[in-house]
Amino acid sequence: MKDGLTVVFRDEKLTLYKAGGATFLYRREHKGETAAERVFSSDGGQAQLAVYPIRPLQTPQPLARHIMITLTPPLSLPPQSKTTQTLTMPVEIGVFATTGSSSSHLMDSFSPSPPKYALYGPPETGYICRYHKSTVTPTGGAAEYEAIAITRFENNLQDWITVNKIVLDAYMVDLYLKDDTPYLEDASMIIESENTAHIYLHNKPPLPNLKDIPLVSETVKKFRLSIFERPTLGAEKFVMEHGY
Amino acid sequence: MNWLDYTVPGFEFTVTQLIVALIVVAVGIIIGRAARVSTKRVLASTFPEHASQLIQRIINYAIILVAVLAALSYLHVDFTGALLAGGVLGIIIGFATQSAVANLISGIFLQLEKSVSIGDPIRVVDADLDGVILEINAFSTIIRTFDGVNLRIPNEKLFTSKIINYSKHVARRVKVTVGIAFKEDTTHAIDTIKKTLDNHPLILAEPPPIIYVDALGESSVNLTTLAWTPSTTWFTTRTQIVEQIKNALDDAGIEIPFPQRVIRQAEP
Repeated sequence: MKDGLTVVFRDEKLTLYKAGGATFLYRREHKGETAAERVFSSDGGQAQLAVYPIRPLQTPQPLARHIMITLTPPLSLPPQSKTTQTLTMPVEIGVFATTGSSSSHLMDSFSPSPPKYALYGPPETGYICRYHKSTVTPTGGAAEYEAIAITRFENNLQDWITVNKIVLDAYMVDLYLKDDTPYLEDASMIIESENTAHIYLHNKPPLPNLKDIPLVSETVKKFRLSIFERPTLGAEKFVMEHGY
Repeated sequence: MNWLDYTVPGFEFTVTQLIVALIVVAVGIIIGRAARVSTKRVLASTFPEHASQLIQRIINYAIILVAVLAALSYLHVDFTGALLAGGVLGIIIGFATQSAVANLISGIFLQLEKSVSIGDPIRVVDADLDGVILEINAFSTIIRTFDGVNLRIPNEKLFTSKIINYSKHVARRVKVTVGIAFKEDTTHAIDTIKKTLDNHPLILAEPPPIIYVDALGESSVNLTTLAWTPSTTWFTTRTQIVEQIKNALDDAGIEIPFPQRVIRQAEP
């Protein structure tokens, strides 16, 4: 983005001004009102803004580290069956600033769709999750500013089951890009019992020819490394123990 | 005569026995320290830091005390007088430190019970105070009340009080009751409130909010709203939705009536 250039995402207008010398002013307006403003300086007098889809964790405030995707309509699975379905998941837009040789910094983020939260499990042991309603289609697309989540479902039980929701550990979520559409990494849900399911994130793109989102994947990988140092925590698997 | 066999004047033990006794005490100190380190390691993952430190000290001093008593016994020191004096002294000290010991023990139990932790916003019902816990010390707990005052409360008082911990669970329920005029359509009012809650990001979608006609009051039909929100944002969310519900009902033309009383004057 060059000096004074503007980018618009729905109700959000991002502008970068050169305030003078090596100082820059970044401003985000929401429906015409200033929602975020930052001044920063650059040693070389040059600055870059990069705008990427990121995991929906920041806005309106970092409250949840899980994402609950509610399936509408619910998905029924026959006994001992497997299926792959396409869901959608929420994303936020991250604005990264880079100056000279410095590393990128997430300067601002916003949600292009109204954020909503939900409780998964009971209040004493449950999780606050970012809430999202998703359609279920075999080869569907995503609405604007949503990510596509291609998910394999596997029912290991001897009975029919109905999946109403899936819950992901958002800190483990990696996103990939194809043109302007973000994709969730390869994911699967294994039904283990009537009340428990395992959600796996496989750390690889769900389709060929998807690109890493550079700054986002860097952050996720750093977090994963810090988690892997603690072997007691299962890094790639989230156990849905309060029903699905 | 070897100097090691020399009897210490005024006592019934030799230099050798004194050296052995000192070695026993030294070994006791070393074992005490080792036990302290081991205890720290064992309790690290299960006990709070303060409680762990206290238990480490007690174990350390208990081992040293046993070593000292063993050494004195080895040196044929007569404890009868000391025990008598100690007993009397113990009673005096016991009475004098009753409150301190009660606070100390309460502090340990408070931490073991894990009902409160540093940083928790709590309400001490019996003391009628609210605040955030800053420190849990050996004898007292420091609380910063919500109006910014630093308060020291003895652990015994806190331990024996009813405590409401506002942050123990990840979500809390907000309850708002609003009265609308009898002439208003309750279904329309409930829909209006529901829409307001749906548009608020911090009112949880699951469990879904419940809105119902709670009572037919003297002047109004009372609608009660029960909605869940993350505990960390409970106060902000509650203040916002009360205002937003009021504004939404105003915008929908739904009257929130004042208390009314119909007075009829009887004919003389």
